[in-house]
This record gives sequence, C-alpha cells and structure tokens, in this order.
Amino acid sequence: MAMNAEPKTTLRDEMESLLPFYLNGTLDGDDLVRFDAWLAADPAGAETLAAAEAEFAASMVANEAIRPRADALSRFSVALDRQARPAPVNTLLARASSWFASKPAWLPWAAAAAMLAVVAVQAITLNAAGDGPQVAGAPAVDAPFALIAFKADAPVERVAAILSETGATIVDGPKPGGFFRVAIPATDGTAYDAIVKRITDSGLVDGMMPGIRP
Amino acid sequence: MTNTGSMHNDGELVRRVADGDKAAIRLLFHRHHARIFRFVARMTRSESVADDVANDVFLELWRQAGKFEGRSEVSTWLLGIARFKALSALRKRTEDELDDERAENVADASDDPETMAMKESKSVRIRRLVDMLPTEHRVVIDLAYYHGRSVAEIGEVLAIPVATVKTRMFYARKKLGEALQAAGQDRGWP
Repeated sequence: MAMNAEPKTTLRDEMESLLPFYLNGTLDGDDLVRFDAWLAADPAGAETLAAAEAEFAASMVANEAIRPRADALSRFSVALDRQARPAPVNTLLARASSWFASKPAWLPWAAAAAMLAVVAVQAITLNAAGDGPQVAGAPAVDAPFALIAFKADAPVERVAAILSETGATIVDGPKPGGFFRVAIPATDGTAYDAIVKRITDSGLVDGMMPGIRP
Repeated sequence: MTNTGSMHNDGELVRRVADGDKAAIRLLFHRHHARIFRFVARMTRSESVADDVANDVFLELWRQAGKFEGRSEVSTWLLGIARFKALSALRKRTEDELDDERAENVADASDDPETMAMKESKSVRIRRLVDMLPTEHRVVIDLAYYHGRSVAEIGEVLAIPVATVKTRMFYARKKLGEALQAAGQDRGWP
C-alpha cells in the first residue's frame, strides 16, 4: 500500500505545480493531457482546483489594489521629451523587417515572417560563430556571393535547411527586388557553381544573380 | 489579422517606437504600465521604487525598441526588462532600508495564525499569506495568476529554466498550503 501511495503523492505534487497554468489557460501539450487525466481520475483534483481558484483571486485582488499614480503618463511624457530619438538600428534583421513591412498585401505575411525567421537564424549563427560584424553586416568585398530571391511561399524550414546544407549564409539584404546577398563558401568556380545550383534547384528560389565568383 | 489590427498590435507599435514614434510608445505605456508597475511593486515591496523603475522600463523600451525581435510577446519582454531593473534597484537600496523591510516582515510573520484566522475572512487570509511568501515564490504566483504567463514565459521573464519555474511554483503553493493549515484551514495538500 505504501509503495502505491508514494507515486500518487509525487503525481499530486507535480499536478499542484501545474495547476496555476491550467487555470490561466496556458497549459498545453503533454502537461495538459496529463493534468486532464489526473483531474478526471483523482477526487482530490476538484478540491485542489477550488483552492487554486482562491489563490488566483487573492493574487488578482492584491495586484489590482496597487494603483499607479494618476500622473504617471504625464511624468513619463516629460521624461520622454528629454530623450534623444532612438538610435537607428542597422542590423540585417531590422532592415529585413522594414523591407517586409513595406511589401504589398499580396505578399503572404507568413512567408515574410518565415523569411525573417531565416534571417534571424542566420544572424544568430553568425554572431555565435564570433565572426563579428564584418561578416554579418558587411562581408568582405571580395568574398564569393550570389544575389538570391526566395519565393514568397517558400517554407522557412526548407530555406533554412538548404542554406545550412550548403554552408551558405544570408549576409545582407533584402535589396530591391527582394534579393538577399548570400555568401557562398567556395574557393573555386566549380564549387561556387555547385552550391549555387543546389540552392536554385531546391525549388525555393524566385531569382538568382551571380555576384562574385571565385 | 486585419490591417487595422496589425497597425496597432504591440509588435507593430514597438517597430514604430524604433522609428521614433512617440504616440506609439504612449499607447504601449497605456496598455502595459499598470501591470509593469504592479509587478515591480510586488517584487520590491515599494511603490516609490516601482514608480521609478516602471518609468525607466518604458524609457528603455524607447531606447531599445529596435532590438525587439518578436520572439516573445511585448508584455513578456517588458516584464523581463522590469525584473532586471527591479533587481538593480534593490541592489542600490541602503542597508537601512533593507533593515526596515526585514523588521516589517518579521512583524507580519510573528502574527499568531489562530488570532489572525479569527478576525479575517478566508480570502483576506489567503491574500495575506501570499504576500508573506518569499519574493521568488510570490513572483511566480503573480506571474501565473495575475499576469497570465505560461511556464515558458515565466522562465523567460525570470531568466530561469522551465523546470525551475515548476519547482518554484511547487514550493510556493506548498508553503502557502502549510501556512493555511497553520491558520486552521486544511485544503488537503500538502
């Protein structure tokens, strides 16, 4: 009996730690499935749910009782007026974001978001590699590259995958026409052609213009 | 999402702030200031500190909007900034101020639970006991209940792993249950 009691206690403990998230509606995935199963099977579930609802109410009341000063916005506005304009952001991601934001309505937003995600991943990868801003934002002028425009409906996973597989990285863009400057890790023309062909043959590319070919 | 909606969602407002749009940051202030203020007030137990820190959070938003990458909700991002600034503010407080706070807490903690139970309602009692939890436990309670954050979002705000969020929530609720039991209110767990 004691051996059966311990696992049940452990499960109860775990469910008690998840309960607030069940109440606030953010529990999902396996946690939600296990919680629902526990709630249906254990009579203690309903009791502890009621207890957590009381905690919920207590937290709400305690927080709502704290009132910011009525003049908070006006004081903030005064402080804001003393601030300089935000520094212009000249990151690759910011430029890409601005470019996609300016696109006409026909460009599927999901595709724009997907491309942004690719650019973000690329930027993170470059930063993590410690290559510094000269690689991420201003590649060496003589480094091999191609200008590539990806299809608006290209799935982000596939774009990220083909870039990863070929070792290519987005280093600049988007440029007029939606072209990104993609660094091609090749030391000779044959390797360059092979990498570019592999990317363009992926079915994800809308257009390609050769840049610097070694 | 409609165009009108996208022009006014939090992420778009942050992008406008990055372009120097003061109307956009004022709208974000309207939407989020009270919750940020309360979060900091609960963390620091000081409304005057919260007043300064909450203002500073939005000035930081003004300066750093261009760095927002949309990987989390703006509200979660702001809570993370608020936590960082609240901790910095706490570190700057003098030992005298901390001593005052400790004395206040000791006075609270020394109240006889049975006496308190006789003169306060159940809801008031729970609220008082939540307030008496250690800050790291009270904060996860507030972030889940009042701010409606998920386990992952709380991890992001507090810069701790998801497993730690669950552990803190477990101990927060366990301590609360034990305190309620001591006050004569047994809820069956722990």
